[in-house]
Amino acid sequence: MSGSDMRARFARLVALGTEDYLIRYANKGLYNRALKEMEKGVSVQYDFTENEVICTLSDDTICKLTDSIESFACSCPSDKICKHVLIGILDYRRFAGSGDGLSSENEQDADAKHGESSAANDGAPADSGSDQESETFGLDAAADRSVEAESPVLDFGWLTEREISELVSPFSPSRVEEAAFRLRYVEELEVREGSLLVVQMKRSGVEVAFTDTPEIARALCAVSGTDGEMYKLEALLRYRAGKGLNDSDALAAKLSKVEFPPETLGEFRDSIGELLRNGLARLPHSFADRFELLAIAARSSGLPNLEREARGIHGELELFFARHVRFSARVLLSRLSRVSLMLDALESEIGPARRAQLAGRFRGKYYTVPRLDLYALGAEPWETRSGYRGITYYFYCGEDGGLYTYSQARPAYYEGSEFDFSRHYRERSPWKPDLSMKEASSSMLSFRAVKVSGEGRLSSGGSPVLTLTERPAAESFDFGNLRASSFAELASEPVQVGLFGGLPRRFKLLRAAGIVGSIYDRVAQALKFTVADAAGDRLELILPYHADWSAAITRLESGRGLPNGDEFHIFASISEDGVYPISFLQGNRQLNLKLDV
Amino acid sequence: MNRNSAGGIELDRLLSRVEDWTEDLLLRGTSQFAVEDAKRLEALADEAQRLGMELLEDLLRKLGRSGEQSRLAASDMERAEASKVAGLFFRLCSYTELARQSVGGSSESADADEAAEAASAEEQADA
Repeated sequence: MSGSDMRARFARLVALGTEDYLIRYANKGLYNRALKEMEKGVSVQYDFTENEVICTLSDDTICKLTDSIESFACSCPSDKICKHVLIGILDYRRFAGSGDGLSSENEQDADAKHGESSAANDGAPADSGSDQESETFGLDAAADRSVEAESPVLDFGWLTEREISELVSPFSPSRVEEAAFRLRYVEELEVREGSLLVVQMKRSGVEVAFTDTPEIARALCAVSGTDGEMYKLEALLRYRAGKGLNDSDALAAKLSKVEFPPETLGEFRDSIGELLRNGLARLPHSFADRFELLAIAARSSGLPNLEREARGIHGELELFFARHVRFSARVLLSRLSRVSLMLDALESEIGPARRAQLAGRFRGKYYTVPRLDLYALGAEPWETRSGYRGITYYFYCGEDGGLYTYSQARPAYYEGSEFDFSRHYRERSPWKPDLSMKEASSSMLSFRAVKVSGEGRLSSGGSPVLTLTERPAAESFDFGNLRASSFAELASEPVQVGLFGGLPRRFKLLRAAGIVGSIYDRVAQALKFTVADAAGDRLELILPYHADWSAAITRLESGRGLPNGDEFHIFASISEDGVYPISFLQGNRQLNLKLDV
Repeated sequence: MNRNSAGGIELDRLLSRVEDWTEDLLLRGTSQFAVEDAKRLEALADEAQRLGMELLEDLLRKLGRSGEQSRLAASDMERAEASKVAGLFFRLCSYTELARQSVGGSSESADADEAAEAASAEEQADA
């Protein structure tokens, strides 16, 4: 029979068409309307051809369906899925259930239909005979029964069995990268399997329903556009992770270039080789420009770290040629050495993940994180060698134990005016107009949909929602590894060393029993505190002098505003040459040492 | 490694001498590698050996030898030898930088600047 194969396949679609399934492909309103129409008596005549199922509805609409809910054609004006499609699918149960050939005029077809409808029940329990199909199902019962008795066997194995690089290949690398990034953050997954495999991500409030077709793009998600694509990828990655699969290496390989253009790498080698052979003293001034060109070449070759070094070398050479006091041969050598080692590594077999790490990421890539709860720890103003000024705000995230920052920064002279620390400290936060940065620096921030970079920097952009919740006292909050329980513990920590990617600054939250004394060291130009911990050990805190926070230093020197006799916490930056405090916390009070006057 | 211990002070001194030499050579250029440089490197290697720093000693001796060879090499071999010198030279610089980090002492961080520039650039991009 020409239509028999289509009939079987259509029956399978009908079996898949649970309420959940139909609502995801259409929507709840459409589904309810379809049911209502059927209650009012609308019914369908079915004619099967080789390629389609012609549904003639009793309201004169003609709807052509296939074995896939995604391909149909309807005589009604809607260009998207319509209630007629739903009726065509839903009504078939009733049609298939009744013994008499309701619609087909062909007697042969009617007999075949009986056989076919039992064939459609392949998934049903073995003892259901073909004669059982003469029952007439009520509409509501039909929906339930079809799930239990008629569900075809669906295979969602592709989700875990296929190679991840294959599955993500239709998607743009930015989407994949963002989805992979989000995996750093905790998500509560709930998975339900029916005619679709539904992955519910509770924190984001998004559900993705995968079909048994091995394509991520075919999955259903209420969120449209590129965000929807990203959620589909994220749902798949989280599902796989939940099943014990680790895709990070494969993804790193996928996202990074396997080969970097050898010409670019060769040019780098040649340039630093020539620089070293000739020596700085005999280098023509124009040599600096070569590194600017190399930076551009590196950028277009997808080598951000090399680009940064090239720009740095260019800058350092310019300082040298200008006989600038800020020039440092050490810094230049450091950069040149790093480039040399990087080139050696990139040219050898280190594997795609490490190659990607070496190549680096373009800074400025921000990803949206569904939820981030941050405990503000303090704010610190700074100025760099190259003349940038800014304030960095520090936050701790209890959930991932990470330190997040937000920075306001400008070149020292911006559009003719100086970066005013006090003004920026008091200005409005970018996330909540009635919240100043000063307040934010001592609050508990609860973000929804905030943008964060790979280095834990918060963005001022996007459209995050920020609510302030009560900040518990430092004594009662779990700061994980950030907290040092004693000064002795601080000394015994292993020293970090590293060449690439910059040495991360080390921060600690210290517990002090009291301030023993303070003195202004004129030689070192710094205010120094001596604090004691509960064990009686002493520690020196260093606050270097700077004209812009001289008022704060004067105040601290006089002893005003310091924590009283009780225990208090110190949030500080730890380096080999000392402990540099950023803020003092005691109970509900916080003092940002250089900013609060 | 405690920089206040006897070994610490000697290591500090050795590292400073290595740093001085590498800065000097950066200025002069490796094509100007002279007999004095080879001698200086040998002396530094001996000191490293005395302090039990095998890796550093090895680097210093290799660099000394390679520098000598490039000085004496015929022009066609010169380039190959020069790149070998460069490789060893930069490795020595990196070793010294790492050693400085573990011993302690001023290590001028180039990256603090980058972070600042990046933060500034991003803020302007976001605005």
